[in-house]
Amino acid sequence: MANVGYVALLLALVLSIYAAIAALVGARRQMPALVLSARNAALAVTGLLTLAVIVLEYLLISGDFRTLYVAEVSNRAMPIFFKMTALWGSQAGSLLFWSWLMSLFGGAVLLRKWGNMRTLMPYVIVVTQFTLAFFVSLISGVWTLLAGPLGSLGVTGTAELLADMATINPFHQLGFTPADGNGLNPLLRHWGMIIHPPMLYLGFVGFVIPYAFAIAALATRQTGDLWIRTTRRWTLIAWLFLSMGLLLGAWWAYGVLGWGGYWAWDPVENAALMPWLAGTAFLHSVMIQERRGMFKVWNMVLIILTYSLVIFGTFLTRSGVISSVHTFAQSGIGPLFLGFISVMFTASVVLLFDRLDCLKSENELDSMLSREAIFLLQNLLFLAILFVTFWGTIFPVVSELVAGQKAIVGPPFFNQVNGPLFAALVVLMGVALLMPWRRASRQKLARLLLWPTVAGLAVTVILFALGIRKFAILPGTETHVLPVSLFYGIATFAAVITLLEFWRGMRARHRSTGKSYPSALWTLFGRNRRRYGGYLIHIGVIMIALGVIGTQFFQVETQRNLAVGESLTITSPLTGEYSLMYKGLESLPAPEDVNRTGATLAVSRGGRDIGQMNPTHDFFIPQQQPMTIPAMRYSLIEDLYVIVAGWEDGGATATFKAYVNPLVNWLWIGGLVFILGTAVAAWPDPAEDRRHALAGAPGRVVPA
Amino acid sequence: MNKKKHIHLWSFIVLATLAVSLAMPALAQTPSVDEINAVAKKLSCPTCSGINVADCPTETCAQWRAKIGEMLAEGRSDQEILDYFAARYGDHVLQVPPKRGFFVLVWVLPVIAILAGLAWLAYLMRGWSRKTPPATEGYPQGAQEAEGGAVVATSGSPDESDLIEDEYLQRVQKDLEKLS
Repeated sequence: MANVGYVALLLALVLSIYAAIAALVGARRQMPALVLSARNAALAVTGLLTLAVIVLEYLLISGDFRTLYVAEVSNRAMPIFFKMTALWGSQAGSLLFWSWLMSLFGGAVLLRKWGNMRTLMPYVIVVTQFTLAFFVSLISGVWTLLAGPLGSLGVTGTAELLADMATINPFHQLGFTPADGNGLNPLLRHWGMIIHPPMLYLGFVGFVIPYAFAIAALATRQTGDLWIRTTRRWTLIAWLFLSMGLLLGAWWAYGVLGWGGYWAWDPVENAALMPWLAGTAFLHSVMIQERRGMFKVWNMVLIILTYSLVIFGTFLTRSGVISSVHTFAQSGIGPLFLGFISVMFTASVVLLFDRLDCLKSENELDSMLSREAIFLLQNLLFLAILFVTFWGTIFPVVSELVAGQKAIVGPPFFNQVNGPLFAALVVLMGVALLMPWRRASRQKLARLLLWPTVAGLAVTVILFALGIRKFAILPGTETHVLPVSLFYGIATFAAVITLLEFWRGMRARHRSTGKSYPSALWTLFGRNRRRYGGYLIHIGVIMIALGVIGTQFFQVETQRNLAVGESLTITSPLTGEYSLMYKGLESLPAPEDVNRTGATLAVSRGGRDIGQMNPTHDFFIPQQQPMTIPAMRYSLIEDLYVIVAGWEDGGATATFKAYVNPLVNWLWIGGLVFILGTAVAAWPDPAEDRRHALAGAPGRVVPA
Repeated sequence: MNKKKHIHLWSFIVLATLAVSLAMPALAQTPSVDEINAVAKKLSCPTCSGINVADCPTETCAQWRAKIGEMLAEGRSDQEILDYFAARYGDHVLQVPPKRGFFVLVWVLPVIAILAGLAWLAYLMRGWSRKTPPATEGYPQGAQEAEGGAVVATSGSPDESDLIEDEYLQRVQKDLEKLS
C-alpha cells in the first residue's frame, strides 16, 4: 500500500518537472500544444499528490507502524481524529501536506478560464511547478542519490546528511513492524493546533500564486496591472489564511500552553510573521499601482520578498538552524532550502533588473501630502518591523558565526523596538483614510484631522489622570518615557477616523437616496466592498491593538504553593481583588496514554463567591511530557487565568500560577472582525471590479 | 566615677551595634515567589530554548530560582543578580544580549536601517515631487471620490456632493447644477 503512495510521489515529481520545462519551452517557442500538455501534466500532479495523501491517511488510520512516519506520529491509543491530523504532525508528512496544498492551488489557477491571461499562464505553470518539484523532491528520496557520489568525492558530512533524507520520505518502510508508535506530539493534540498548520500552509502556498503571476508578467513584459488585478483575490485570500494562522497560533499558545501569554517572538513565530509583514505591505502598495500606475518596480520587489520569506520561513521552521520550541530534526533539508531560496531570489532579481524598462511609472508623486506618500511611509514601517524581526531572529546565528559568542534575542528586544513602530503604523492607518490621491489641501486635511486628534489627546490625558501612569521604555535604553495612555490615544485616533468614514458614507447615502441608516450601511458594504471591507479590517486591527496594549503593560501574575483550604489573592488593575481557594485535586478521565489531573479552585471577589475554576495537568506517558492547561474566567475587561504547575503529597499541597490579563479578549474579537472584513473585501462583485478596471485605464486620474 | 560611666556608655553602644548588626540579616525579608519570578523572567533557561527561568519546569531552573531567592534575601539588586548569572554561565542566559562588543549591533543596526530607509524615502520623494501644482485641485473630502475612478474637481460645490459615491448620481447632480 505504501508503495502506491511512493510511486505516486515519484510520478508527481517527474510530471511537475516536465510541466515546468514544457511550459517554458512552449511559451518561448510559441507551441500552444506543449503548453497545453504542461497544463495537463500539472493537473495530473494535483491528482497524484491527492492520491499520495489518501494513501498516507489510510496508513495512519489503519496503524501501519511498519511505515516509519506512522510509527513516529501515531500510536494505537490515539483517537481517530488525531490519527488523521497526524498527517501534518512531523516533517515528512507536513512536507507532503504542503506540497499537496500547493498542487491544489496551482491546479485551481489552471482551471480558470485562461482568457486574457493566455500569455501569462505558461510562466505561472513554470514557477508553481518548479516550486512544487522542489518540495516533492525533498520527500521522494531523490537527493539521497547524490550521497554516494559526494561520499566518494570526500564530502562526507554533506553525503551523510543527504543519505539521512531517506527517512523524510513519508512512505519509508522500516525493516520490522513495531508493536506501537510514538504518538502525536502532545502539543498538537488540541483542535486549535490542528487548524493552525493548515491555515499557515494555505497562507504560504497562497502567496506563491501572485509571485508566479508577477514573474510571468516580467517574463512576458506585460507589466501593467493585469497581473495584479488577476491575482488580487488570490493575494487577499492567501493573506487571510496567513493572518488566521497567526491568530490561531496566538490563541492556541494562550489557551493551551499555559504561560499566560500569546506571542513569544519565537523564531518559528517570526518565520510566519515576516511574510505576513511583506504581504501586507504588498497588499497596500498594489493599490497605488492600480490607481496611479506607480511603484511597479517596488511592487515586484515586495512580492519577490514575500515569496522568498515564505520559503525562508519554511526553512527556518524545519531546519533547526535556530533552536526553537518547534524544532524538527536537523537534516539535509537546511542546505537544500538555502540553495533553493538563493536560486529563486537571484533569478527573480536578475529578471527584474532586466525588465526595468517595462516598469516605468505612469505618473509621478504630486505631493508629500498624498495617499501615495502615506502608503510609502507605511511600507517603510512594515519593512522596518520586518527588518527588526529578521535581524533579531537570525542574530544568534550571526553572532555565533562572526563573534564566536552565542546570544539570545528574547521578547524584550522585539517588544521594545517593534512596539513604537506598530504604534506609528496605527497612526498612519488613521491618517491614510483622510488623504486623497495626488494632493491634499492642507486646510481641509487639518480640518478633518482636528476632531480625531482632539479625541486621541483627550483619551490620553483622561486615562493618565485616571491613574494609568505606566511608561514604556525607549528602545535599547532603560528610560521610561513613553506614556502607555498615549498608545490608547493613538488607537482612539485611528478608531474615530475610521468610524467617521463609515458615518460620512452612511449619511451621504441616506441624504441622496433617502434610505435608513442601517440600510445605507448595508449598501455601503454592498457597493464598495474593497473600501469598507478594508476599513473593517482596520477596525479589527485597532481592537487587536487594544488587547496587545492591555496585556503587554498591565498583566498581573502571581505564584503560590497552597495547601487544601488555603487561598491566593491576585489584584486586577481594573476590577479589584480575586481570591482563589484551593479545594482539591482529582484524577480525570483521559485517553489511554495520558494521566490527567484536575485541580478545583473556588473563586471569589469582594467576599462574594463567583464560581469555580478547573485547571488541568496532562502528563503524556510515552513522551514523558507534561502540559498545563489553564482555566480561564473571561470577560471583555479581562481574563482571570490559572494553571496548576505541580503538587506534592498526592495533592495535599499544590503550586498555582495565576494571571490577570486585561483586555486580552479584544485580541480574539478583533481577529474575528479582521476575518469578516477580509471576507467582505474579497467578495466578488463584477460591478465593482469593472469600476476599478476603468480606474486602471490609461490616463487614469482625470480632472473633470 | 565619670570614667566608669564612660566605659559603661561605650560598652553599651558597642554591644548594641553588635546586636543590631547581627540581627540585620534576620530582618531582611525572605523574598516572595513573585519577587523571585520577576527576576527569573529576565533570564533564559540555559538548557531549553525559548523559555525563561520563571516558566521553566526543569530542575536546573528550580535551582536557579532558589539561588535568586538567596541573592534577593542578601539584598542584591536585580541587575547584580543578572550580572552574576551572566558572568557564571555566559551572556546567552540573558534575555537580551548585553550592550557591549559585537552585541551592540543588535540594537544599532535596526536604528541605522530605519534612518537609512527614511533618508532614502525623502530622497525619492524629493525627486518625484512636481514643482508646480496641477491646474485643478481635485480634492474630494475624506478621500471619497466618484466611483468612475475619476477625481472630480469639486471646488465650489457643497460638501455633500463630494461624498456621493455613485458616479451616475454625481453626474445627474452636476447636470442639475448646470441647469439651475
